[in-house]
Amino acid sequence: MSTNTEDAVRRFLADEAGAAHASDELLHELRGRAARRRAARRRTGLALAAAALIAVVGVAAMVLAGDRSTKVEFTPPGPEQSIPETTVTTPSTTPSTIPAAIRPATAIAATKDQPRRVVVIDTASKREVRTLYTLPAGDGYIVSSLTLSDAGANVVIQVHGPGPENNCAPKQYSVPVAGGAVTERKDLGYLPSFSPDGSRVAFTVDSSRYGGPSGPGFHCRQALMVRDLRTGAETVWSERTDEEGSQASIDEVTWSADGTRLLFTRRYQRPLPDEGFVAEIRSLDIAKRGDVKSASELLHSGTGPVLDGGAGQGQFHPSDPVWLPGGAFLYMRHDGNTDLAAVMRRAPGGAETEVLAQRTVDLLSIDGDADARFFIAVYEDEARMFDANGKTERLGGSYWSVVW
Amino acid sequence: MDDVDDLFRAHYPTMVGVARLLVGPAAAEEVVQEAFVRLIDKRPGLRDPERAAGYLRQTVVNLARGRLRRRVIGLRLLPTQVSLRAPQQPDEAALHSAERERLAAALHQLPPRQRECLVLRHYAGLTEPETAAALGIAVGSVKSHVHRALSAMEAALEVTP
Repeated sequence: MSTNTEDAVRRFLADEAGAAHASDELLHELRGRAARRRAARRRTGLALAAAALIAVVGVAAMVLAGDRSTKVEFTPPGPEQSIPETTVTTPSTTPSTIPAAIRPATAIAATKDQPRRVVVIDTASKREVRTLYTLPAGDGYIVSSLTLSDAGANVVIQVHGPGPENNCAPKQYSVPVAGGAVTERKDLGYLPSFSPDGSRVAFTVDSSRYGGPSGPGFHCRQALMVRDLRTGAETVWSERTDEEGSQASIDEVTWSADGTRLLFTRRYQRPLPDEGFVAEIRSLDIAKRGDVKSASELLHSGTGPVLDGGAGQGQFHPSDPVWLPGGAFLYMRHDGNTDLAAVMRRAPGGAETEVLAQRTVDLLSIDGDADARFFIAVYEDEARMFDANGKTERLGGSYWSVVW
Repeated sequence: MDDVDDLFRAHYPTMVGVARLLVGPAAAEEVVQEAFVRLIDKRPGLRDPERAAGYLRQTVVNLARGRLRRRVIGLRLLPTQVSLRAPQQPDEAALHSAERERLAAALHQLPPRQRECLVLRHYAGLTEPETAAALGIAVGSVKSHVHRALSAMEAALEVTP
């Protein structure tokens, strides 16, 4: 390696890094943030201790009364509170706690470390049994999304090239889960999600696709579109619903089991530059609004009710909804104050939510199985499988997204 | 003035530069400010300035890595590459723009670990052991990652425009 190269790289890095100023005002602000965080933790600790005491007393009372069938419910924190900072991980060396006979058989995962490989995992043995797709190393391409189609027979793999010019130009490939030829699909938009009966696909698009507004600040996760795969008819269901410049985006679209509703995450920039993004989960009833034809009619209106999150919800960031049979859905919730990432379940039609799992480790994705008996949470350090009662076991340690 | 003041003044600008090179300009200051909030929060357990600086570097790299992963799976808006350089004179810009573009593309395409090693060694000026400690890898791995990263950057420089 020549000294000239090293010098050129150093100059380039220094130039690209630019300059930043360490002001007294900023340090004062950061100290304030740390103090507020400590105060929030103290309040949480007191609340947790009180809750634990109440739970112990309650369990003791039940045992003394001989009532062994009553379940002690864990009440999740409200939207303005911090989620208790606890860890519920199980060491990976412990024996399996989910009976092998009732575990789902397979899951499909993309591997971490420049995600380039899509594999099939036998969830009983927790071994990779098949590689479905591999990108060549070193070309900068990554697998950026996975979704199942054709009732789980195929997996659609979204691939992104390097550089911002490819942000909105992913390639999509379909591969049989049982193994077989890879075919490119050119009929899908960004982040596709197939209806349970396989007849329709929802995806996001730049509104220029249907003659809507475009320009700086508009991007490919701006509008939600559903395509009927039999007729080719496309319907725009939701456009950006906020003021110019908020960079609102639609992500992680999921279908209800009966194919009448969609859930998705919506993110947007708060008004002040340093306030970051707000995430919220919204629902859209596409059965009741089947006659919608004009995108402009929906501008600034039609993304459905907010089910969790949004402005005024503190540091919580709900995302990644997964609709379960029966109307319940799973979702992820990040707490910016405590770094706690929780998997939540919201009951059908009601406001009740429960915490299924929580750790102070970054949560990358979740997915539930077709029968709503299990879910997989992919953390930064490992993927774990959970059953409905909170029993858990480690699936593997090198994945970033799992579908099944 | 206390030792947090010293750490802040000594490391904030460099750490923002590191974060810019790892996650882009939009999220860089947010990543480094969060790292300092965590450092201040843990300050009673980090009285040794060297240990505190090491914790700070680790936190910045980990937060940057988390940002990139979330971005990959669509949890954040995809980044745009915005150059923070001051405007250049037209002649100078014409002379260097092609080379800079190739270097920027090469840096963007490096595997994350190679990019982290290159930035910490050749931008932040860390030693190999400091880089290894910040990334939680062996010193020998730092050498090989930096070598591979520099080879990729050298190849980008040698391409005829």
